[in-house]
Amino acid sequence: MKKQKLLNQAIFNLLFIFVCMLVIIPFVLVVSASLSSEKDIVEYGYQIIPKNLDLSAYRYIFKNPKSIINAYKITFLFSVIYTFLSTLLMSMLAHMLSKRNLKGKSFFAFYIYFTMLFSGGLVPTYILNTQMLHLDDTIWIYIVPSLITPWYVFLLRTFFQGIPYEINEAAVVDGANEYTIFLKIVLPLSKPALATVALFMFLGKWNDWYTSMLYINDESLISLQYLLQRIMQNIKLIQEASYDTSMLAETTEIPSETVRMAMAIVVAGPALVVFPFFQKYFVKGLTVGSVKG
Amino acid sequence: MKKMFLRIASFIMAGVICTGLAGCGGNSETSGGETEVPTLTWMIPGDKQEDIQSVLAEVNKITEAKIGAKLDIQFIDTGAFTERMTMNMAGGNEFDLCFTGYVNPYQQSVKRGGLLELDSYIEGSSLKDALPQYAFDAGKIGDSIYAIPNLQIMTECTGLGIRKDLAEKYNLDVSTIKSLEDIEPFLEQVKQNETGVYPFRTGKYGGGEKNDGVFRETLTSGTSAWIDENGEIQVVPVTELESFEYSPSLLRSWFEKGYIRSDVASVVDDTEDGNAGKFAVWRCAYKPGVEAEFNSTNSYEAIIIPISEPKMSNGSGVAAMTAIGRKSKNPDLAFKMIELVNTDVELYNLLCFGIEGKHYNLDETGKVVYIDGSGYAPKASWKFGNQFNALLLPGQSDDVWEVTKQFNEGAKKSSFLGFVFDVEPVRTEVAQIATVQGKYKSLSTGAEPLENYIDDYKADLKTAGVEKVCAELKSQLDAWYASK
Repeated sequence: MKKQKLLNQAIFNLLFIFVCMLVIIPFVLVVSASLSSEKDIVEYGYQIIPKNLDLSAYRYIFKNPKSIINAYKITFLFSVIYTFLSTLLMSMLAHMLSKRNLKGKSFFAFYIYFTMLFSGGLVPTYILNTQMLHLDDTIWIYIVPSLITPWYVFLLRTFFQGIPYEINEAAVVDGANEYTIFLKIVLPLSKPALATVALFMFLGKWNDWYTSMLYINDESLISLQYLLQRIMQNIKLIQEASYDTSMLAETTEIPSETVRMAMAIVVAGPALVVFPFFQKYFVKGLTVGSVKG
Repeated sequence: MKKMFLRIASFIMAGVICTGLAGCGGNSETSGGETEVPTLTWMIPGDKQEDIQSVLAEVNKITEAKIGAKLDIQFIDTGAFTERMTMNMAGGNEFDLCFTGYVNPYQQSVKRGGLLELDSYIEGSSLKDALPQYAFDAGKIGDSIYAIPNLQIMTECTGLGIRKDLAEKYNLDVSTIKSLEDIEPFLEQVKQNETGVYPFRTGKYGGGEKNDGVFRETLTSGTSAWIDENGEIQVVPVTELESFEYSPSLLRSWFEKGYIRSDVASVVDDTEDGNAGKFAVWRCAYKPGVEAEFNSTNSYEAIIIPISEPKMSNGSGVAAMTAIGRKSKNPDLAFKMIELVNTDVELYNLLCFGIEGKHYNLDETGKVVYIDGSGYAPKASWKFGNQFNALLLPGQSDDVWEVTKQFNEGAKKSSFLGFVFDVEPVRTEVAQIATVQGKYKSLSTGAEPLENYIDDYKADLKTAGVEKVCAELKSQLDAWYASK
């Protein structure tokens, strides 16, 4: 019996160690490649432990750190504002939808649901954002167009519905109005759901490069991910084109392998820090939020 | 506490709405100015240039005096250019001039109706004399032209790069190398005597076609079209060509003899190896002056020789062009701007290199030496206009443009210049063929046994519907040819 248990544990542990390795090793390779010298990579390929420690890739990136630091600032700023606003707005919306006595509830629910099935399409969205709302080349383009994500509204609504209605009634008896109920009862009881939604919102925004590509001309408003994406895209174009169109020879220095890796580390860094933090909160929240009465 | 939270939230929302409204207000004001000099916007792919304003100030002095217009250049990242321009055209955004070619593809842009037809502007303009006739021919779609090619090297020519030190060591006489297989003895010598060097680089470059004197063209993926000795148009799948097996079988035999690295099938990117000089021989594009350019930008020297005839094919001329946006409010001025950039040497070099003394210096032989960190160095004169007006860079010989011009003129011209294949009737098949091509592209490295490769390839292409595409292409070509 005990032996069986031990065996099971060993198998599970081995399995999870294996899965962890699958995730961790590529990341370690990137870190190690960014710390290797270019010559070693050509000579020996990627190594788990760099043969010779070489910081020149990072030196190259931080020689002119202005654009990276600026992109960091911008990305952090809009990610935080966006996460705050979108979580707030979506929970407000979800709160109303979770009310039993809201008139036209099914209409509103359908109105939101409808956008999950049909979207405006890329070109109409572009026209709306640039020609009617004039959001292009402002920081608001990152924030305004995607404040409400229907999926998370419904997720929150379902969660809010799980809060016993009696609490609501008790609060009304005590003289609470809708805002008090929302702020003092619903939100504190829903921390796990809010943390989850906020986390996804934050990561989604942090990794957004498409918006920058499509709408931003002003170099000082470019997002961090786009900075990286741009380097990669340019490399791809150069490699594809440099054979067929010999004209490109004039153009470019391609950043070396190590610089690309270092770039990836620099860009991914904060998300790596933020994620465990949120996750901890998320797990804690699960127990805090359990129904009491 | 919680009320505070709500108040902040409503503040921010109010802020959002206000900025939105302010944006609307601000934009409508700008159009209210009096009779100012109009400013033309020009969209060009490339990195943003910090010091563009000082260059534009100089540029505008010239353009205002000569055509009464100012220029505003917007650099858009090369990787995003196609998507951004597609949006600009579809969204009806205004722009006067734009780059079209290898990004923001010419034929697509025309098809979407984003570019202005230029025939009536070209008639009687000075461009007609400034550019050779083949440039206009190359830019035609059907009977009309929608963009002016930026004159540069417009031919395709396969070349062979050979490491100079090795060629000298083994006394290779490059004048005897006329096609790919002629290099084989040299590869053997390299293999026998050199360590740490791969004799031949293949990878995505493949091996090239056998040179049999017929000008065949791939007008849509997987097909080959040419005009035979009776003046008949022939279209067949690429796999049916007699010369088709030439390159794969040569590469296969080289792979078996060990001239090609054994891990070639799994190597994704061998750029670094190339930079490090780990290949003795490689295939590349040949053009006049390419050797000098290569040697000035690499850490080792190479000999680069042509192994095919120069050809000007259906797509050669359209890699870099300048067009006028359909929504432009000043198409006349925009055309004059193109004319001016292509004919005014001073203006053109200002755009390409910036201001002398500030962004570049000329060395004692009159070559451009960039000043580091000056804030303006687009480093791509072919993006702006007629490259034959450009100043020279170190490594380019003094007569490089003259030789290039002759190279262009001497090249075999495609009989299909101006033809555009309308894929609409066979869209599905074309997409399927593209998938098949992608699959077998990775096999053309020599690492796979040839027998399976060729039969599978033929069969897959057939299943993808290559015969239907050939028939469609042939009928379109016949109709187009008859109308000429």
